[in-house]
Amino acid sequence: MIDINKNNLWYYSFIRFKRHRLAFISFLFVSFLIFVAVFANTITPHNPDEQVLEFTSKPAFFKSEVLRKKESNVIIPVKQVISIDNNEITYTDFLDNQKTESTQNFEGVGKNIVHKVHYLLGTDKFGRDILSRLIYGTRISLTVGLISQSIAIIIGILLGSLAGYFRGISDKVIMWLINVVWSFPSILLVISISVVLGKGYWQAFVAIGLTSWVEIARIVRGQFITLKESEYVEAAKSIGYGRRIIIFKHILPNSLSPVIVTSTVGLANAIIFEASLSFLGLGVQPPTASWGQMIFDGYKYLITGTNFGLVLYPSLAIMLSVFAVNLIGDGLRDSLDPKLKK
Amino acid sequence: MGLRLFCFEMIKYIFRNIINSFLTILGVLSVSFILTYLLPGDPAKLILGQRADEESVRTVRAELGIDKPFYVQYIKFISRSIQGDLGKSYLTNRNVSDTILEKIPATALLSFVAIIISSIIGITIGVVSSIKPYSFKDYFFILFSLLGISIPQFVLALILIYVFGAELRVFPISGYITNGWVYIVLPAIALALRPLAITSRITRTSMLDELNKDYVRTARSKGLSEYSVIIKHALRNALNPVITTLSSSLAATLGGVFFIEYIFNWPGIGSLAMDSILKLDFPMIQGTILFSAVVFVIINLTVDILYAFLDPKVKIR
Repeated sequence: MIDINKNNLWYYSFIRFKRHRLAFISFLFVSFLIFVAVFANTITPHNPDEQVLEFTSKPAFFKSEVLRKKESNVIIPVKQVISIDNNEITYTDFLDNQKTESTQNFEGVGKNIVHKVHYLLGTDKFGRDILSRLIYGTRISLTVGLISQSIAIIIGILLGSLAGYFRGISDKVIMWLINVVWSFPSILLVISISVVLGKGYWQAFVAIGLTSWVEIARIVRGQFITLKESEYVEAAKSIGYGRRIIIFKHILPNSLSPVIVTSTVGLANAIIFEASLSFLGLGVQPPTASWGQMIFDGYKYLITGTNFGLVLYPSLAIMLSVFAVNLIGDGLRDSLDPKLKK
Repeated sequence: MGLRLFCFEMIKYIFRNIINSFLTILGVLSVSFILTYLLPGDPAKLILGQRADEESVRTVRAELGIDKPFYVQYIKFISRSIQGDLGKSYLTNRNVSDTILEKIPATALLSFVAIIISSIIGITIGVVSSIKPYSFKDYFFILFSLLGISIPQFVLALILIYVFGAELRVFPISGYITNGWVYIVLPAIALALRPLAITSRITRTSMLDELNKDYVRTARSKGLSEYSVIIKHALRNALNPVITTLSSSLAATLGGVFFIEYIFNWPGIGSLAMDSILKLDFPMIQGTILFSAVVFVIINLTVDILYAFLDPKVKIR
């Protein structure tokens, strides 16, 4: 339990964090993103994978009317409704063919069988709703960030504390491993690991996690080396506490704040990595929506200047979320620093 | 400390660093060997095509040495790589090391230009921010540099292409300087932004640290001009961490600038790596990864040694 009395580090940190206005706004923004990701199913206006060929590459605020087939849920875009009564509907479709069908075949009753659709951000080249795909992309980006950072934190804390507490040969070996992974260009390492593991969702998590533990391990190691010599650890030792209690109850909690800051920045980088992987077609596989992939899909239309929204919206989504996460990291860095009390 | 002792310590320091770097490179070789070993698909079939007959597949496998057990392949790979032989490309059948050597100038040019841009502008921004911390200008630059860190390189490249290439049509969007020097403008800007942002942040923090120190107060009380206090005294002492960051940025970009070279069609190591990844040319992938890791290690080693000469305190760490 976190005890909220006034000497608590977390309490002070929270107060200071709230004072960091931009970081606090970013925190609210990221909370909003998490909300969007969790409730993606209910808040998307359209099914993100639903292709309506008549509606390909429409600009923002595109509106139209459609009929929905009852059983197959197929969408029939309607250009103009000519007449409608209780039994029959006559309409022209997008090829200008006039058709008359029984209203029984469609969802809805009476005049309500003609549904209005609104594509707030327009559609892509397959006639899919960009807004819905963006919303589902939030899910991918956030889960990639969270899971890969969890992997990184687990490996990083484990190896970092091992190296920092025991020093000696284990320190040498772990430092060597850190240097080796550090030397690889991280994006190439991520790409190679995901090629080895195969394209896909989980592979991207693991690949990013396996490359970003290094920084955390370094920091934890450094913290352990300093804290091990500190007076309060000496005191704990002299009372006769065991190694396990000293490591987990005394040193680890005190070395957590830089880990939190680093993994926040790591989360931002993981979002960038995921987008870059998907941009190369190595991340999440189509038709699942991800921001990087949406950019890749739109990239070809950029130079011809036909539909820049395809690239603009997912780019903005990536930039804003990475920016917000980085700002939170900045705020945390200031507020978790116990030297800056007050 | 006597001169002889100093020399002895220095040699010991350099020697230890070289051994460490060598061990790191050995680790890099091992990791990239294991990655390639684990890659799905049979290289022989990649070379010959999926419908090749048993006999020729076996011959090619023997030629490549991939019919041997793991440890034999491993030892062979290490000894070949140390001699600079990285095998042949599956696609062009050319030596991987020759192809990489050809691509070095383009990458080196791009990364030097970008690092120079980012060091000049980044340090200037950092100094300007630190003179009046928490002012409007400072907050603006803080946000600007955070934004610079938050934009993925490929997104920035696409934005530049759209704005300057497609809309304003002022800079060419694809090609090498053989067509003219303007071709370097967009890729260099795209590459420079991130190190620029990082440099300005670090300069700011480091300058704020220095400006609070006693010697700065002394310099001011002596009546030195503000310019001389900031530039000659504080900045000179604040540059250490800045140079470390810049050199590691350089070390990272010299090994290949992956997305930017690929998007701007810049014929360097980065686009070579990207191409070979997309075409599954394994020896080439391995070669480019090794190259960038080794460049990274060597540059960091050089910087460490240079530091020891410039600042003898470093050794004590």
